[in-house]
Amino acid sequence: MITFSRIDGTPVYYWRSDRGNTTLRNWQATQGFYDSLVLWIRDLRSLSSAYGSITYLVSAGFYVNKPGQHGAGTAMDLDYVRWSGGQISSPLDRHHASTTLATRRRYLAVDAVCRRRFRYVLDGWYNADHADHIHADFGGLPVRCVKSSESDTKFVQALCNNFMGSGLVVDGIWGTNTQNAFNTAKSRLGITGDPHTTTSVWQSFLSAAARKGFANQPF
Amino acid sequence: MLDRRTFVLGAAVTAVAATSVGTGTANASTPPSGGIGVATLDGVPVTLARIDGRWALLSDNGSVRITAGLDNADLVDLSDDGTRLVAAGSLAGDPVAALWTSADGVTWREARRLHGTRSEFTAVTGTLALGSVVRHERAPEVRVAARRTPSGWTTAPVRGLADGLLASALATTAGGFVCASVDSAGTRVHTSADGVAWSELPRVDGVAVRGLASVSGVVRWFGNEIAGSTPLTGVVGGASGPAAVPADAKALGVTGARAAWLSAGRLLTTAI
Ligand SMILES: [Zn+2]
Repeated sequence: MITFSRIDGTPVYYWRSDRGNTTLRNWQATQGFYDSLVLWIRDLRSLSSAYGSITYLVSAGFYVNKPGQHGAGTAMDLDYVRWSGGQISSPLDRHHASTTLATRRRYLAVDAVCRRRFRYVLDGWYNADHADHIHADFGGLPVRCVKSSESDTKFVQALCNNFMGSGLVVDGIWGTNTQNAFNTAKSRLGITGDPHTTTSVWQSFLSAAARKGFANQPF
Repeated sequence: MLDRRTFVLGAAVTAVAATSVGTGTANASTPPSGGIGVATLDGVPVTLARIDGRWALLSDNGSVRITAGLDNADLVDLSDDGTRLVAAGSLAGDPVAALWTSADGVTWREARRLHGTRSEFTAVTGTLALGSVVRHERAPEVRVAARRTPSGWTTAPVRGLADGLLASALATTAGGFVCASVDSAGTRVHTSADGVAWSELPRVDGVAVRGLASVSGVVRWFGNEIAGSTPLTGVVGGASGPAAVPADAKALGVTGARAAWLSAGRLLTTAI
């Protein structure tokens, strides 16, 4: 286990007991998980570069002394992202359920970037316990889109609804309507190959979706 | 206050005689990792930890003994009923909640498994185990419980605990049981007279509670800060502060009148 206060130079704050607090914290995680966090934030910076740099992150925990991936030091709970251009994305404030489309698309963009480097990623559509943070861990690797995963399926359904107006029920069940919408999304984003079996194809899809999300553009 | 019976795991591994085949003392090339729960065996605090992928019984008399019967176990917690140890977790792979028992801490046998669904047990005492049915992604979905009866461990109903959380600590009290569950902002604490119907006590915010003890009518907790992992202790509904252990110590649980911690490979116990 290693201790860190910043991910690749970006500070990570804790707001659960005091919103707005900027005290540097001694977070812990395994070296392998921290290395993935570095790749993740570099992806995030690159894909959201129009917003400027990432000023800070807010987390609800990495290593946490409890059963599961947090207890193993291989999980992150993401509460908030702030960019130097003034933009924010706040899972803490349930941005997945915002009445503003651009805010939901930005949440989905952050969600997509998490999915480039982590499985499982549990978000506000997954269940009520993740309505106020995005959980990302090392379970179920490698990264790919698994139709039998409720998390992956709900993410795809929410993505198609918010970027293509697909009108899917976000139920986590990969049926014909979800498949058709996903085929359309892949085509419009210029993705070829099989995202269900090939990590790089799924990562390309996620990057393309994230770019659209940060730009608030439909596809 | 730190107990004098501190235990350097790495040193202990090299200090004991080596029998690397089968059950017995360990000759490990890597130090033990983790440490799940704590129990008392023959008056001595013990925990289980992995050495080279196998579960080993670590005790503070210096012994490190490779176990038998836990090869397919993903363990989360350990306790005892005064005579036997009980370990809780799941069968590896697509998880199946299971309990194992042992008279000597070395030879284990499976005592109970839940059939038909992904599940795991995450907290146990000598007579009650708490767990959850879990989804594909291992997120908890529905609480489950098992009680020890004269004929063995049997599933029992549970009411009043949030389904989306896993139990992180469980203890017997004079009036029944108390359990902890960590959410995204701290720990929820519940109490129950019968292990079935649970009612909520005040939260412990900002802390992941891993050990509970009923002391003079109050519930004392042991755990680590969520933002920073600082070892802390306090009273449910009352004051809290730093625990008198090294800064890197991780709470393992409570056994008898002592709280157990793991710090730099050492098993530490403190008076509760
Ligand atoms: Zn989490």
